[in-house]
Formats: sequence, C-alpha cells, structure tokens
Amino acid sequence: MTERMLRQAKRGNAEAFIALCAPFEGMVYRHCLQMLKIRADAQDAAQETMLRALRSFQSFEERSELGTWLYKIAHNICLDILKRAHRRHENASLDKLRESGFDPPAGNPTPEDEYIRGGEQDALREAVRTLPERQQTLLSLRYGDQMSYAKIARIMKLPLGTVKSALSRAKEDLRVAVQDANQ
Amino acid sequence: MKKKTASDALDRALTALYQTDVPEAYKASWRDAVKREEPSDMKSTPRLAWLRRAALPIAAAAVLIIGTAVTGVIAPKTPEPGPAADYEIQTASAYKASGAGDVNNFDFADGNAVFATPAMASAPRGYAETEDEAAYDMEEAADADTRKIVRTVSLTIASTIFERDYETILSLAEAADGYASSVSMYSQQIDKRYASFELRIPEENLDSFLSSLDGIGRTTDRYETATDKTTQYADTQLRLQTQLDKMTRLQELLLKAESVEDLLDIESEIADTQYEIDSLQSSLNYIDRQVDYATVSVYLQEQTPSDTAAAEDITIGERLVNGLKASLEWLGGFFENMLVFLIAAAPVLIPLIIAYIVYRIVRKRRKAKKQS
Repeated sequence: MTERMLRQAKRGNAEAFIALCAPFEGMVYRHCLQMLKIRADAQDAAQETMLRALRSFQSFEERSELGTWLYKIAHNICLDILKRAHRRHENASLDKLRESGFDPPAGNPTPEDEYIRGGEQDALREAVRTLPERQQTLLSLRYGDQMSYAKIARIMKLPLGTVKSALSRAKEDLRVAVQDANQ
Repeated sequence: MKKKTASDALDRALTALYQTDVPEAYKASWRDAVKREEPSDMKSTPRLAWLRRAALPIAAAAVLIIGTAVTGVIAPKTPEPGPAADYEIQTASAYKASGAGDVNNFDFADGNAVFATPAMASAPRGYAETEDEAAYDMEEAADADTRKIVRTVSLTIASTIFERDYETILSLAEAADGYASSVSMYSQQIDKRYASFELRIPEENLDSFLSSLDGIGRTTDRYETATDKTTQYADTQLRLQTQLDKMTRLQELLLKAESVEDLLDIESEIADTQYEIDSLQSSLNYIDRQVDYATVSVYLQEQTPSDTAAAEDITIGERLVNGLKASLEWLGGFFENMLVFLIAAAPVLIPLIIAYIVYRIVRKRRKAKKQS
C-alpha cells in the first residue's frame, strides 16, 4: 500500500482504490456470508461495503488497518440488513437456509469433521465471532485466502511478528472456546 | 505431540470454516460499481489528473508573481519626502547653471522650472567677467612672491542615503563660504540616482571642507591636482604692463596729433591696445579666481545595500549586514508590489474568485444530488 495510492484513492481514484481493497474482497465477502448466510445477500452487502468504503475513504486514517476498517464497514452493513429484514439467523433452520441459497461449507466427513464433532463447527464459528476484529480479519485472510504471513503483514501494514503472534493468540483462544463447548 | 496434533486439527477446522469460494460475479461487480462511482474528474490518468489539479494553483501563482513583477517595473519608487524631493527626477532631467553671473538660478533642461539651493543663493558674485566689475589690483599683481597655485579635487562618493547626502554636500559647501557653480542630478533606474556637483571652495577652507566630506557616504575615488600658474601669471602681468605703458604713450601722442589722419591712426591703435589690455586683465582675473577658489567636483552615486554588499573595500561584517539588508529590502519590495498588484487587480480578481466559488458550490451540489 503505497502512500501515493492512498492519496489517489482518497481523491476518488477508482483504480487506486481497487488495488488497495482487492486483497480484502474475499475476507469481506466471507464475513458477510457468515453474518447473512445467503450468498446473494452477502454479495450485495460486500459490494455495498466496497462502495461505502470508497465514499468515505477520505475519512480513513492511514495509521489504521485497511482490512480491519473494511471488516467494520461490512459488519455494520450486515447488521443493518439484518435489522431491516428482522432476520434472526440464529433461529433460522438449516433447511430454510438451504432453500434460500445457503451453502454451508464442507459437507463430506473430513479429518477436521472428526475433530469437530456435532456442534463443534458451530462452536468454532461462534468462538470466532467473539474474537477482536483484527484477529477475525487475520484468520479470514490466512485460512480463507490462504495468504502467507508475509503477505498478510504487507497488506495489513503490520510487522510480521505481530501477525504471527496475533494468529497464534487467536487460535489459542479458539481452542479453549471449542474445548469448553465440547465439555 | 498432542498439542501439535490439536493445532493441526484446528488449522484444518478453520480452513474448513473459511473455505468459501468468492464468486467471480461479486469480484467483477464491486469493481464495476466502484468505477461507476468514481468522480468524472478522476477518470483521467493519475498523471494528467495531477496536472489538472495543479493547473489552477500554478496559474494563480504565476499571475500573482508576474503581476507583482510587472507592478514593480511600472510603479517607480517615489523619493522619500524631504527638502530635496520637491523636484522630479524620473525624466532624468539635468540641472545646469543658467549663467556665470546668475549661479543661484538653475533651469531644467526644458527651461520650465527653476531650482535653487541655499549654497548657490549665497554664491559670491565678485568674480563676474564684465569689464565694469573687473577690478584688477595692481598692487597684488606686483607681489611677485605670491605663488599662484590652482587646486582641483575630484571625488566619487557612494551613498546609501542619497537625498540626505545630497543636501549635506551643499550645506558643507555653504558652511565653507563656497558655492556650487553647477549641480546636475539624474536617475537611470529606481534606487539608482546620480548627482554631479561642481563646487567652488575658498582655498583656505579647502582642506577642512574635504575633511568634512569624509563623513558622507563612502569615497570610492579621489583625484587631486595642484597646478602652478605663477609663471603664466607673471608673464601675463608683464604683457599687461607693456600694454598699459603703450596706452599711456598713445594717449600722449593723441594730444600732440596735428592732422586728422594722424588722429585716426592713433585712435585705432588705442582701441586695439585697450582690447589687448582687457584680454590680459581677464586672464589675470581668471587665474586669481582659480587660485582663490579651488574647484571641487563631487560625483554622488546612490547605492543600494546589494551594491555595497558586493563592494570589496568594506569589511566582511558590513558586507554581510548589507547583503541581509538587501534581501530584506527586496522581500519587502516584493510584498509591497504584490499588495499593490492585488489591490490594483481586485476589480478583476474578486469577480473571478466569486465565479469560481459559485462554480464549485454548484458542482458539489450536483454531485451530491447525483449520488443520492
């Protein structure tokens, strides 16, 4: 993220803005999908996230992290959508969700399914939600986009050690949370 | 080992949790939406956009600087108020003495104005060249031991306080019982004036007068001559005496003339002799005047601090101070000119600025309306 690109994006240059935000498009979409459960809604929300970010990019402070900033915008947009639709996804049945287009990841039994039996995946998802925004962003980039630590550090403008320690801490918290859920 | 296994399992679980394909349609659609949202003035390439945004400030700065520079050229700095500021110098008018017998009246070159200074007004008039006023003292001429030394001094003075030094030179000449036989002043450019004085100072006061000039400005050039006119004076005296003797004899012969023809010849010879006597007497008077009143030519140059900063005959400290003064003067002059330009151009600039602000407001409102 060069300073020049930031300046151009702040002046409304679309190319610069796209170049800066493209690494986070997957993370934004996944977060929207996790909150809204419906692919079409997630897609709209993610697109709206990018547009809202573009419009308010002048207020983006360079010292903050772009990924976390986008995450917050996406989160707020999804909350608004949920409020408007009175949608309480916690109560929605899986069948209904499937009918409306929800496609839960990983249906076949895998080693991790062996590890996460029964409600463990839900517990893991819930545990992820309790993490700070930065850690959720890092996890999404690491496991969703399969980015290396170095690349995450580069696009988040964070020291490599910080990325590693934050992810390690996040995993430790998740492990505890899942174990507690199993007991 | 157990911990490692658990960690690997968590990694796989997280991978499974986040394993979601990001739709290509979403990737393309948000990019398109962002491009559509891009302000129209940003659609040009970044380099050209930068140029476009910089064009207005650059143009404004250029107008301001050029306007200031032009203002500095077309608005000559007027002389500071003071006794010597009453006459115009922009036209490089030269003052010159209107005549040897009327040295306190100085006419402009075009003859429209009269300029007088106290020193000139008090100039002695006893050296006029007319026959009636010529009073050659034979007793003084007979004093062969008197040396006839004609002294002339030429000075060039650089001045940073031109008008004050101009007045001081004339005042000092007056104080030394001298007078200015001619004064001229002209200006080549702003803050670059010149004055030329031809002063006549009594010989006995010359040295004190020259000492007093040392306090004015900075003398950059001095030339002094002393010409001995004793021999020339004595020769002229002898020739005059011969002519006077001849005149006496002719007048005696005139009384003894018996015929009209002799009378006419003698009168003709008397007229020629009288002419010769007058001429020789005039020469003696001239030498006396030259001896009694030394000629001091003063060339006064106005200098700006930047000139003196470049001078080599002053200390480095003075040069530094003068250099700093020059910079500050230039800066002050620049902002002064800028202020003059801004006020002068206000009738044009203010409507332009208002029009630009209105244009920006209307454009912003249209854009907001479009976005909403």
